[in-house]
Amino acid sequence: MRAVFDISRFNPQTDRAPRLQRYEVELPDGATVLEALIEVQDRHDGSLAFRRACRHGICGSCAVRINGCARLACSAQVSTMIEQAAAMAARRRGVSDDQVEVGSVPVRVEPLGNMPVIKDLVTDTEAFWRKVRRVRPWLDPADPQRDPERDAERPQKPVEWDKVAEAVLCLECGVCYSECPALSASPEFIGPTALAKAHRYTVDNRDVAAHSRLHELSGEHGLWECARCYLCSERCPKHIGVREAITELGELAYDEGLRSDPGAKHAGAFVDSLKESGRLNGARLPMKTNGIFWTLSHAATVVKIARAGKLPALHATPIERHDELKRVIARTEADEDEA
Amino acid sequence: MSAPSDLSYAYYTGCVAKESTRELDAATQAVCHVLGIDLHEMPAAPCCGAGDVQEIAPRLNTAVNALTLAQAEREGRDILTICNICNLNLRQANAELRDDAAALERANRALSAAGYSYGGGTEVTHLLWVLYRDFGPTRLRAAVQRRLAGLKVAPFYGCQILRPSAVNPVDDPDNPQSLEAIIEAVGAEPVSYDGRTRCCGWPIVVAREETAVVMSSQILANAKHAGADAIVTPCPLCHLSLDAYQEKAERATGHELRLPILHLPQLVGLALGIPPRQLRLQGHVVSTRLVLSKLGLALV
Repeated sequence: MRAVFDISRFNPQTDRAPRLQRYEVELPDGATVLEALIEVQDRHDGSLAFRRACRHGICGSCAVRINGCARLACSAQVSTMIEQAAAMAARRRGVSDDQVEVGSVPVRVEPLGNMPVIKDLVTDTEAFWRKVRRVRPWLDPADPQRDPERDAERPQKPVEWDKVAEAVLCLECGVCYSECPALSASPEFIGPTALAKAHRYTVDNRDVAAHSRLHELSGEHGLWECARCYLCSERCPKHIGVREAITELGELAYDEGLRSDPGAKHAGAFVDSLKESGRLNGARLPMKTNGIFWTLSHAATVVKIARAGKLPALHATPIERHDELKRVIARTEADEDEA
Repeated sequence: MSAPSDLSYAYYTGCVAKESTRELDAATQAVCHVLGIDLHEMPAAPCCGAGDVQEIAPRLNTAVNALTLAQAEREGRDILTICNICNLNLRQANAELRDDAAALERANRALSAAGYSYGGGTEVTHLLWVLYRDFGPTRLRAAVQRRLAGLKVAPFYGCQILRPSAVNPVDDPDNPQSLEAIIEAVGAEPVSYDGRTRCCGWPIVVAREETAVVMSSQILANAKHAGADAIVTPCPLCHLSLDAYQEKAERATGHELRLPILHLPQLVGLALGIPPRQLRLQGHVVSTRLVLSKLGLALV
């Protein structure tokens, strides 16, 4: 199989910006993108820098962006990536898929996003690890001063293991971190990897640090800065529901009484208006989220929206047969109290 | 046009199309009327929770969406949504109720208080998917009265109609094509730009405005730079993010944008010959006049 790659090259000592360099390589059928990178380094250009270790999807070292999407190079089939490159080019050119010959479009390989580049495909992971460490990604046992049984065995039942079984597969490969758009817009955001780690330890029955960890995550650049784009879940090579874990962290924080963040208030306002009328009260949402002063400071926007006829009513008219919804909500809450 | 009998839906407008984007509801009804897609409104259906209720009260969220699904099941119709967020939340709840017997039992205990039960028989779809997959670009092309020739339209999908792809099975989340197919079917030209599958930042625009505006401004700037006359989106929240907050995006980027943001049925409606005023193209924050003048139309 002959394959053409455009690989991002960058040497900070000589280059101002990264550039794409083209390589044509001969590969055996079934080759992965990592094998292609090794082939390039071995036979075409020994100066190409990339990370790799295990070569079979366990170590998480070889994550790069291929055709613009972060994934593990060792788990990406070159043949599939060639097809994807052609299909993406068809969309860019505004033609149907069959009008772009498979193999005619190079496979693009670039370093992960949201990290500075050290050289070629190798990124600086310092901030990534700093954020992961911030959530104390280990099982925090009971306070040894207060708990004389601290050295006792801490058993875990199968149903308790099930809560963390998915998340323990995390490779810390940086794929979700690379793709997060909230992080691109706000670099101090703690990001999806650290949040998924925090969830994994917080829901573990052997851990007692739930409250302090959730408190740490309820700050300005914590869990409420996630924009729910689901790219983290979509791209995770281990299929971990990262956004789903962040959703659950929100619930855990809310249940711990950590409700002062505008994001938590925003969610609370939705529940309130659902109960009051069965629909969103769009007019009161900003006030309940950010308070009266913030809302008044946005008067100019409000006037513009009002002029376009887009201002929501101050009092939402309840949905028809509102009583049905009320009864469903009452029974759900009664059942939850019982449980 | 004769109505294909199978295209009949329980019409779930969602909250936003009844409040801040009433033009979306008006345009959807006008377009579906012309295409013979039957819509039956669901006036007793509650808010989908928008992901916020799911975040802090997941069981309540599932029960409330189960009520909507049960109302449609009783009518014997599938649900048509016009909002990415409604679509995802209803589909997530539906998947949970179908896959998790305990969740279905819990929801049905709650529904029984209102005289309902849900058997898992309702499908949830989106106007974009109906136009692309069920009605189809070929029939749409044949229904066009006024080709939108020369109009350069940047497709913007928004997140929650693409991801998670396990819940949103219609498009390839990294290389979708349904919006492009519709843009072509109405005679306009899809614009290629970096941003069509990005996140507009809407869910955090109230709680984290600065972060959200950086996200939306990059999309707007890229579409403008690629020569778009307008952006089209299937989601009213993406619309608000890109339209109502566009002035803030202009301030963030330091560039004038003035890029009209069309709802999907407004674009289709223009090609079907529906008057712009009926599509409520006057009801936007960023004026749509540039689009209309390019088509030789006025807001009459």
